[in-house]
Amino acid sequence: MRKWLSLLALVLFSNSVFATVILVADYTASEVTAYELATGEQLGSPFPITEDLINPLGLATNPSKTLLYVADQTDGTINIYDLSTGLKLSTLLSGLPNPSGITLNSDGTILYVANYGGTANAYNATTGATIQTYSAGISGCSDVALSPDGTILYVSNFNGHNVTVYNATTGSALGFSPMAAESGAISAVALSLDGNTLYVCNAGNNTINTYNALTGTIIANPFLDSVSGLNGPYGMRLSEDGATLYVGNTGDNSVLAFDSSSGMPIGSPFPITEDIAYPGTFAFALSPVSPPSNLSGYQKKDDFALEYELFNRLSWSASPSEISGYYVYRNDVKIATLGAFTLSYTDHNREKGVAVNYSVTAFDQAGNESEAATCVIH
Amino acid sequence: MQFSRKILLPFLLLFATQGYSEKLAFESKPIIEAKGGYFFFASSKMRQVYDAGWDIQLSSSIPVSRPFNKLSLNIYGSIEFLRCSGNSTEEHDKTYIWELPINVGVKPIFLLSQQVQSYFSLGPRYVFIRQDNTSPYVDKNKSRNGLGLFVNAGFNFILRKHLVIDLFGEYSYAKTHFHSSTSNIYTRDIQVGGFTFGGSLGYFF
Repeated sequence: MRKWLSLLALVLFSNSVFATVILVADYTASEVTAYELATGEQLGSPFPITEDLINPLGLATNPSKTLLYVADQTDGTINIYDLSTGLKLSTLLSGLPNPSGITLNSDGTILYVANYGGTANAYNATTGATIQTYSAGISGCSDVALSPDGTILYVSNFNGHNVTVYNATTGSALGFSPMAAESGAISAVALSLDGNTLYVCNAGNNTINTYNALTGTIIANPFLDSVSGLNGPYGMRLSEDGATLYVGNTGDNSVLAFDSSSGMPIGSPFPITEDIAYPGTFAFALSPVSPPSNLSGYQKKDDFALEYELFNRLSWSASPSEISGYYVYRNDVKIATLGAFTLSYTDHNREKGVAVNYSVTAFDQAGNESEAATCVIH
Repeated sequence: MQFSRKILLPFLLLFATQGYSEKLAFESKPIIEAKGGYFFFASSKMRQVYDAGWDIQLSSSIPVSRPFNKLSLNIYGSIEFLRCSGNSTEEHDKTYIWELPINVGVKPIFLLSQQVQSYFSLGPRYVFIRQDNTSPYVDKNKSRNGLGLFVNAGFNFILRKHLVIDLFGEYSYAKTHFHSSTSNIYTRDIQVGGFTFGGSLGYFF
């Protein structure tokens, strides 16, 4: 029994992919920027994402972290982007009344949107069809948070200074809704991984209070309330492991990080300030896969005396990213899929006197593929 | 130079010796022999791939003229089997080759003493060649016929009545060119003959 449990634990562990990158919707700069969580280093291509963005505010990534949903408050759209290329794939929704905070359910099929100028809504994440409307008590809704089991939806009301709570399936308000009635302006909500604690970000009061998410009562020791550094906090998201709370300060245009248990600020590399004009909300992604380097190759003859064949031998240096393997392409046609520890490939039966273009890319567990390292063998 | 002397010495002795021995009729008798030898290819390209191997032969010679001045002329025929193994030059894939040559030629035999003869033979050689490869990137099996020449020389030592042992050396030449129907497998003209050094046990009638 213990053996089977160990095996199960191993499978669960090996399948979990924690985000390594934080994506920041920069409302004023009309772009989505990306930073390594470990180093705070701003990522280059394909970031920043700028295509068709005016005032991006809400972000969400699908479970495999290949797609980015961006709510553009001024444009009234929800656009979908390919995270590996940064290119826009489609406009899922348009004509929305100032979409702000968004979140996806656990399997990425339903997108919940806080429409600041209207109601909160649930949409089919693929077709954009409206699934549910959450309207009771809504007043300038700014953000949404979904319970881990997908049954309860929390909506922060910027103008109503509270959080309304709904049955996510039926759209009806729950008995303890509204909760977290505060002065100021509630800009964001986030739920702990167990769904028991609701973090409420108040941009007007510069506070983050914690509430019992199942009763609506404030937790006796409201962490972060007394922590300095909050300055017009607008966006807020909990890390995927639940350990860190990330907060965007619109007062000094920085991204802060706090220990979600103690409320203590996390130091370097936070706060992140580089190229942030006005931080909206956040989403998490995986680091772009770095390509292998030093790709080189040569041609050799494998001689059997009576006959021989020509082969091209490629070798490269490992990608620094956490990858699952490499793809090898010959003249843009994929010819091999190799493991992460394989750093060479032999391509047999080549034609005499014909130059061949090779490229090698790295790919990760989510299927993201790096740019290619290339070489030509004559 | 030392080696050349050793080879030429029996022939010098032969021509220096005059007269016909009535006592020795052996050189005019048919002989059959079972030969075994050590074979290696003459072509350096073949030797790059293949190690030396073993060569077995079954041969026979039949006199076609009466002995004259310690010399008799025979016709000679043999069938051989030789096999070598090796590895491809870069990927070191195992490869095997075997040949089945048939030699036909003339064989002058010279009497050196009552117990020792020397001979040489030469003639055309037909050879069937087969190559087997373990590499998936060249043809697995391939065979081809070829024509060439052979020459061999040796010494017969008469042990007792009807029984003779033979020490010999043989050179063969046969060029062949395999063909492949698979794209990007390249073939070439190559000399598949070589050298055999060995011995035999024979019976003369």
